[in-house]
Amino acid sequence: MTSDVSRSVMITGAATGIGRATALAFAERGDRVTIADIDARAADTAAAIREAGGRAQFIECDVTDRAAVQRVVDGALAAYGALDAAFNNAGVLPKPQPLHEVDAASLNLILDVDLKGVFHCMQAQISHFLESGGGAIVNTASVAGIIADPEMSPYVAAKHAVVGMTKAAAVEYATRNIRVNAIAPGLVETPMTRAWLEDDAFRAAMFQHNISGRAARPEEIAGTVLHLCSDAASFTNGAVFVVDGGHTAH
Amino acid sequence: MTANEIFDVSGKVAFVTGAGSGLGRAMAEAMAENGANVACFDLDPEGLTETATLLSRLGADVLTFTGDVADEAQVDAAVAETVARFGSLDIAFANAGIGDPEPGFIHEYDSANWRKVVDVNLNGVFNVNRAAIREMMKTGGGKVINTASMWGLAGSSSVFPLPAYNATKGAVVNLTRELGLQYARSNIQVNAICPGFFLTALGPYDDAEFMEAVTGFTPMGRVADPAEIKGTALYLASSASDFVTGTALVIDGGCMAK
Repeated sequence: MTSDVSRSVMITGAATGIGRATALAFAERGDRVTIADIDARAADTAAAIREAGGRAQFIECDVTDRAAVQRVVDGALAAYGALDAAFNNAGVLPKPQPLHEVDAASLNLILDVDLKGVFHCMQAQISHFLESGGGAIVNTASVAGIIADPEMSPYVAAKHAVVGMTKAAAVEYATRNIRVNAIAPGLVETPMTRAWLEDDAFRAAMFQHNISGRAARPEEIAGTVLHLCSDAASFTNGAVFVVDGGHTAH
Repeated sequence: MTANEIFDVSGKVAFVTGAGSGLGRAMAEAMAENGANVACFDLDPEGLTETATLLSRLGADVLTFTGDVADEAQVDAAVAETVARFGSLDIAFANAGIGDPEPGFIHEYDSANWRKVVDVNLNGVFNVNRAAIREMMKTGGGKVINTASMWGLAGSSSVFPLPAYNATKGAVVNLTRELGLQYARSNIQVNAICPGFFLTALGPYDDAEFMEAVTGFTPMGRVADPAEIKGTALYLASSASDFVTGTALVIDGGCMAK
């Protein structure tokens, strides 16, 4: 890594999976981490960081609530005196359903968390970055933000929207030292995907055209987020970094 | 794996074409700064000497090869010599490239100029990828990083016409996808970087009108220093990108997002 400066970083959705692995990686390089999650288990991630000698706090937060997101940004500033980078990672994965059978509640939940949640986070973070002089944001999209999987229409729509919001914010604040990029992970071994990965029929369908033949470990995503949040990515803006073992190259 | 180990390339052997200046020199520096040994390949012997001096000061072992990437025998020989001297080839940057010798519209385009650009920008990348991957198949893995361009993803004539450059860079992007798939199960990651406007010899950046056009096109409102490619180079050369293959990373200050 090119910078040894300790930064204050906000991460949503860090109870498990990609968010947890990334929070641990930020902390390992000396960053102060504010973890926001609706899932109280994310407190364990913060505790694990502190036990290892790092600095982290947990703030319970439902990203669909704009005011709650603001409290996380304020909490990061109160605890660590700064907010330099953010990883907007909280998301929900719906059960597969044909588009014509998707109920309103399911559609709204996906759009509220995966789309509006990221929007709320960017609003709060960018408002601060405009005052502080800049910062870096990384949003978790998905390969479903680039291609489509069957029976995942609300998720595909929301993740395409994350890619769109990322580009929109990147272009809008490009001259104000705010960089906004997205990652597009393929299938990752997380509690969110565990049921799928344990289903033989799903695995067969999933890996039919996935040439790597495996899912990523959450730790394999963390490096991409660290890079995009760092000054080493100073000219990288509005980009989508795909981490999918070749899934979208075919 | 700690955060620092994720980006570690110490003890690795890197081969960089177009290392005599610009992005290639920055990529070579990024490798040397992080503990790799570097073989540098370029047409320009003076540029190579300057790069080698920089890398040696960083403590790297350095080899230099004056040659043309369009000549497969020269590329094969350089890769073979690199392996003979350094013991392996872990990281290859197929970075050498040229712009259209006479930028212009296709109905007036000179065939020799077209073939020249195809020879360097596409055939050169083929030569380097083939030679490097042959070695990586023997050792069980590696990283190939091809320099494409944002003009491998979009036409350029809203700013200036570069038909051969754009065609070849688009080909590099799709060759990268194909090779990413071909070697996905061989532990060889093949990826492309798509730079936007970087302050290199490839464009007339000392021309005020050109500078105004390119900064106006770039949302960040500036051109990049070549050093700003180092982070992406290190990311794609290190284990940070072990699940990343067949992709094209845009480093363009927001140009392709608009």
